Amino acid sequence: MKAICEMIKYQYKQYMISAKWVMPFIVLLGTLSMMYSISPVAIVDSFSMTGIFLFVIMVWIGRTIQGVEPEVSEQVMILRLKSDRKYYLCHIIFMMCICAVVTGISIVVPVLIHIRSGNALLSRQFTWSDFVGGGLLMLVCSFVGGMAGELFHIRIMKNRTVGIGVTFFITLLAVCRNGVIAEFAAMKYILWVIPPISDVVSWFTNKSYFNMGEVMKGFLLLLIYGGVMAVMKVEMLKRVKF
Amino acid sequence: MITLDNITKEYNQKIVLHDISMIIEQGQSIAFTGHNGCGKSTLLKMIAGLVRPTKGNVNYERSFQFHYVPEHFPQMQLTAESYLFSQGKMEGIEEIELKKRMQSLSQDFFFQSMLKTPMKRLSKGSLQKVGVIQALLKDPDILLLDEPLSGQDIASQQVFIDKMNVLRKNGVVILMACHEPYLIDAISDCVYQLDDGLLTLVSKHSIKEKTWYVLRFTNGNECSVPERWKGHLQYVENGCILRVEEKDCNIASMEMLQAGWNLRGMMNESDM
Repeated sequence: MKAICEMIKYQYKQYMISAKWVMPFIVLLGTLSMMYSISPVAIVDSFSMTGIFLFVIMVWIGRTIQGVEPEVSEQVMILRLKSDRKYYLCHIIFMMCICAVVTGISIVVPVLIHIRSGNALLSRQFTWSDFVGGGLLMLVCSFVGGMAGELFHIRIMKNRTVGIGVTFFITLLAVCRNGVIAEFAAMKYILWVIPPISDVVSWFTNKSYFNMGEVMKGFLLLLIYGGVMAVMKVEMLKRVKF
Repeated sequence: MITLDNITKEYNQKIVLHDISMIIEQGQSIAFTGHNGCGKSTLLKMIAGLVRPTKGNVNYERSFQFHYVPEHFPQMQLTAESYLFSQGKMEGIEEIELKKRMQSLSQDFFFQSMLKTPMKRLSKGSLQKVGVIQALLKDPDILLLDEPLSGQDIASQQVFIDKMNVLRKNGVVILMACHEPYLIDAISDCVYQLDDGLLTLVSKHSIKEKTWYVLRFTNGNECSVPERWKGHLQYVENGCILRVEEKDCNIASMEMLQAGWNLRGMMNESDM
């Protein structure tokens, strides 16, 4: 357990010093500022939209974080931890920490703007169900995004350009999945493999409050998608090795 | 401790290691030698489980703690101190003990003044020292060394040899991919030669006696490399470098000249 904690701390140091986090976080803060620049804002709608946006941001982070640790250094650490599975698990936990940070920012920013504007930003008072429901939704959307961004790891798909292209295509389909299926019903037999981000978010469109039953259903559904992608990535990396 | 059972490794349909079997026992110090690209590093990584064999198995008596000194330690943004500290903590070394160990090892390797330097600014030799120090923070069961002395100064090389011999006394298995005969002589019990994918046990004496020459060629018109020298070759700017045994110098030069290359220099490797 201690080794896992130290490994996560190490990944944090490496990521922070790499500066690869700067652009996604600037874009995140910029988009949130724009999103909450016009009042009043419906809480459920805006948090749901933020979920989609966090998915995209985390795909970006998941894609760029792969280059932070050199391959040789990964080999040294896999041997040090005596397990490649443990090493990859540490990385997934670290990604979850980033998800928690982006979710936290995405909740705190509107609340701060709301307070600063003399309670004029949000269409109604902020409640604990908004915090829990919106938080869980954003957290799981960002987790799925992170795992999708990492799925076509450089060692799994050696052609970097193709890897980026496929990741972009999956991101696009995940965001538009709902619309594509509405237009071409037969596509649902193919698109079930794509994370149903847009489907889950659409459950909350034009709702005044988060229905916790639907939040939990969406959370578990997306958690399964993210979990499957994480397991697929780990197993493929264990198979291809170095 | 470890048994290699008829392992074969192919890369792009080229057999790098062919049907290799060997047993590695507790406390052994084994050197693997052979020309560049013959598969020494691949064999080390395969023993550690970092590379999957195309055929055959690597069997372990139990779970071993491997430490690895790679040939090219990567340049990173972290300072050497921060990197080593994290590695030691991951190993479970207590903070006070770890700081003492880092100080002592960096002093031994004349590295103290560079501890706070970002690793991306370190020279190849200094980076190699980081690679060695991280592997020596705690005694492993098995130490993998891939050209561990490349770029290191003479004084550090001697320190390294002394430390390896202490580890040998402590029963640590040392597996080393190496070209330098004096290093093989100083720390290895036995030597295996890798040639055309085959592993052969050779005497340390035979390795020691070989003299290697480095021949430098520049590009001629439409020149190709004769098949037998391809494995000895390294491309450089405006040409290539060929590393051959003394006995092969004449024939290698002649065949390369016939293939259209221009010979621009020849040096005894030990003088470089």
